[in-house]
Order: sequence, then C-alpha cells, then structure tokens
Amino acid sequence: MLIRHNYTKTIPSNEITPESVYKERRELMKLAASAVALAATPLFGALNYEREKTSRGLKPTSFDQITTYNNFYEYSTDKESPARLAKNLKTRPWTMSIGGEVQKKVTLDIDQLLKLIPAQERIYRFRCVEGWSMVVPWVGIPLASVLKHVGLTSKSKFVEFQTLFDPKQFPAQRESFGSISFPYREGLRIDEAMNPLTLLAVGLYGKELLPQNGAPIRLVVPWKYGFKSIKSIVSITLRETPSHTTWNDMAPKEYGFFANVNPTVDHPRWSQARERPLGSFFKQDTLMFNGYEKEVAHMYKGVNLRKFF
Amino acid sequence: MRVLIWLGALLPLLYAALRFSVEFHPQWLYDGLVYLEGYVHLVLTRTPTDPLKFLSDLVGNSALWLLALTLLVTPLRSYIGINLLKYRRLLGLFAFFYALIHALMFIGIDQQFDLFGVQHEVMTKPFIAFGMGAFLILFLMALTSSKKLFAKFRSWHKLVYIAVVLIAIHYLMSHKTITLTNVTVVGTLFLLLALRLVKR
Repeated sequence: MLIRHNYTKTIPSNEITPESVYKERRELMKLAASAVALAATPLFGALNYEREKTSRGLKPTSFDQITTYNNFYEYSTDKESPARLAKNLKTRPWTMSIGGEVQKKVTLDIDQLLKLIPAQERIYRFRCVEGWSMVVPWVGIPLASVLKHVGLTSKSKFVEFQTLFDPKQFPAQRESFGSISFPYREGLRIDEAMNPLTLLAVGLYGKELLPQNGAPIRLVVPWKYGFKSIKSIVSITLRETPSHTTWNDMAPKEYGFFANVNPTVDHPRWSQARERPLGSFFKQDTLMFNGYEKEVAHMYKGVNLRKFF
Repeated sequence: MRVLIWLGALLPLLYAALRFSVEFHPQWLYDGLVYLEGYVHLVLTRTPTDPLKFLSDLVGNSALWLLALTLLVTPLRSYIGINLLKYRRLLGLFAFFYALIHALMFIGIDQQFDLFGVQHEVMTKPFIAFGMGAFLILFLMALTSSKKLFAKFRSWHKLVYIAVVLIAIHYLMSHKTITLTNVTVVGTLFLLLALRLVKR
C-alpha cells in the first residue's frame, strides 16, 4: 500500500494543469469548426482521420492478426475466443462519462466526441506483459484533448478508467469462478494521461474498432504493458488519489501501477528482456519504454523504476 | 498397440504441422478441416499467431498428458486388469521427448543458449525452477530407461512423483489467472498420482 501512494508526491502541483491548456483552447475551437465538415459524413465502419505522416519504420501487424489475438477477459481468458464471442457487442449508442475532479462533468456520446475532436492515425508498438508484441495503426483522439475539453483543476492528479459492466453482454462477468474482478479498472497519473502519445482509440486500419479490440473506445498507452490500455470505456474519473487498477489489485507483486515497458525489470515468472512479435518465429529485444524513451522518460526522472515498476 | 501409441503420441506434432501449413493446404483439405472444426473444439485452419507460444504450450501440454498416462498404467492393471506395463517405457520416453523440445525452446530460443542466462532464470524465478527440476528428473529417467540400467536405477524412478507435482505447479504458474480448466487439469493429475500411490 505504501508503494502505491508514495509517488503522488513526485509531481508538483504546478505541473498538473499546464498553462498551455487555455492557450490551446483557441486551437481546439478551430478544430471543432473543421470538424463540422466531417460531421456531415456518416460513419459506416470507415473513419475520417488524419493520416500518420511517419510510421517511424514500423511495419503494422496484419489486420487479421490484430483482430483475432486478443486479451479481453470479459469474454474469455484465451486469446482466440474474443473475436468469436464479441460479435454482438452493442457499441451504439455509447456514452462515456467524465467526472470527478474536473471543471465540468459531462457525459459524451461517442459520435459527438468524434465531431468535437478530429481523429488521427497513430502507428504504435504494442507490448503485452506476457511477452508478445505487435504494431497497430490506431485511429483515435489524444486523451489530452478530451481532458482539456472538460477542464482540469489543481485536484486532478490521477485518472481512473472503467470498462462497461454488463453481464448480459460479457459472459465472463456472469461467472462466479472468475479470473479477474469486474468492472475492469485502470489508472494513469495526470502527466501520463496528458502526454501527447496517450490516445483514446476508436479505430484501427482506418476502420471503427471491432468489439474484440475494445470498441467503441479504448485507451492506448504505447510505452506501458498492454493491460493498462483498458477497453470499451464507459467512464473516466479525475481523482486526487491513485485509483485501484484491476491487475495491480489482484497481484501487486506482478503487475505494477505504472507497468512501464522495461526490459531490465522482469516479471516474477518470466523475463521481459525480449519479446515475440506476432507472426514471427524469432524474438526481438524489448526497448526501454517500448521505444518511446524520448517522449516519456522525462516523466520518470529520478524514479526508481525497479521499485515503482 | 505399439503402433497405436506411436500414432497417438505423434498427434501433437501432426497437429502442429497442420497448423503451420494452412497456407499450402489444397482446397479439399481446407474444406474438410473447416467442416471438422464444427465438431471438435480445436482451431485447425489458422496459422498460429504467436508461433513460439503455440509450440511451447503444445509440447509442454503433450509432455504433461503423456506423463499422466504413464501414471495410469499401474492402476489400470490392478483395478481393471488391463496390462499395458510393457508400453509404459515408450509413453515415458515420448513424455520426455516433448519435455525436451519444451526445455530446448526455453534454453535455445528464450535464452539463446546462454547457460548463465538459464542459470540466472532458474535461480530467480520459481516458475522456471519448477519446470527445470521436473525436466531434469525426466532426463535422468530417460537416461536410465534401458533394461539394464533400469534394473540398477529402479528406485530412482520414484522421482517421477515429484516431477508430476513440480509440473502441476509449473503448469498453474504458466497462466496469468487460474481458470476452471486449469483446476480440472491439475485435479486430474493429482487424482492419477493418488491412484498410483495407493496400491491395490
């Protein structure tokens, strides 16, 4: 428990609501205006988005592999079943509430949200804590834009996310001999949430997300292990204290709150030094912060990453 | 009977070959497998997405079940009167064969034959230590499985009971969460162990 609360002190309050927030609001208004044009186009699977300019030399994993190899414990603990079981997830209408320590609490319809903030493509590495990895061309909106939209306060220090709890749609939520406890919860520190890399994904390969990938809206935090990237989000709560997170609650010695990809800190049961890219017979070295050291390392300066894993 | 055991024990390899050759299947085979998929709870027509994990799990599970079968030989004889004693060695050797692939995948692919790396993993991770311990026991048993050596090292083969317990723990630890299936598998293993240990 001590471990979980210590790092609240590591970020000074003045870093929490950057000055740039209200400056960028003007830019957001411009974006909103351009979004009106997009709004006229109906969404039938295909998404309107701004293409990624550089793929950084990453070759995306095939659509087939990304959509048939999924950890989605609300359906099953095996990875091939979610694609089969998730077909009928009702993803429209879908609302996501944003509350807690914010300037204005809102409940956003996902289509409205997409009109408000235009989607963009982000080709990211995705590294699972189990030791496999893939490259996904996500389409999404920066979480920071959404949080700026609701307005942060000096008390917004952590963000909590929750997956839909609906035993009618999620078979594993009906089982008593469960694998993990539901609803699935995840959390980020506010600077992590505001990092430009952090994405709320609504699609991949230019199309709306399929249910097994966390439709209609999911988190993507590319420098952290995949379990942080919570699926099918219904609520985002800004908090002053760290939130509970599902895997950390279940096995705190194995899954940390931070869960930053780190080849030098092993999982107690297996090494994290290398990874198996999906479809490949060969392993490759895992990169510090999953290759996003330049963008994120500054947030963990002076932090003992072995202790706060 | 011997042929049957050979065929049965090689099924996992056949299954792997089938999964990895999906792209080259003639249409009739593919259609046939799709039809079969409707009846058996097995994926047959998809190249494994995570090949290393697929192979490692397949050979690991095969070793576990073949070893379980060797435990069944004595109870089958004393309770039902079916004597398969002369095939037990073959079953055990097949179990070792799959365990060997499993261990070599870890040593060769995971650790790239870095023996200090292997040692480090064994020393720091109980999960790996249990698996390696079980493998060493099977290795010892395979080495002393010839008629001549078995006569001499017969009592050593009792170590198999420890190997089974180690494998059960290793198997449970290989999953992120424990499901009903996992519990059933381990339950079956312990049931067989109990049947074997309680003689007559």
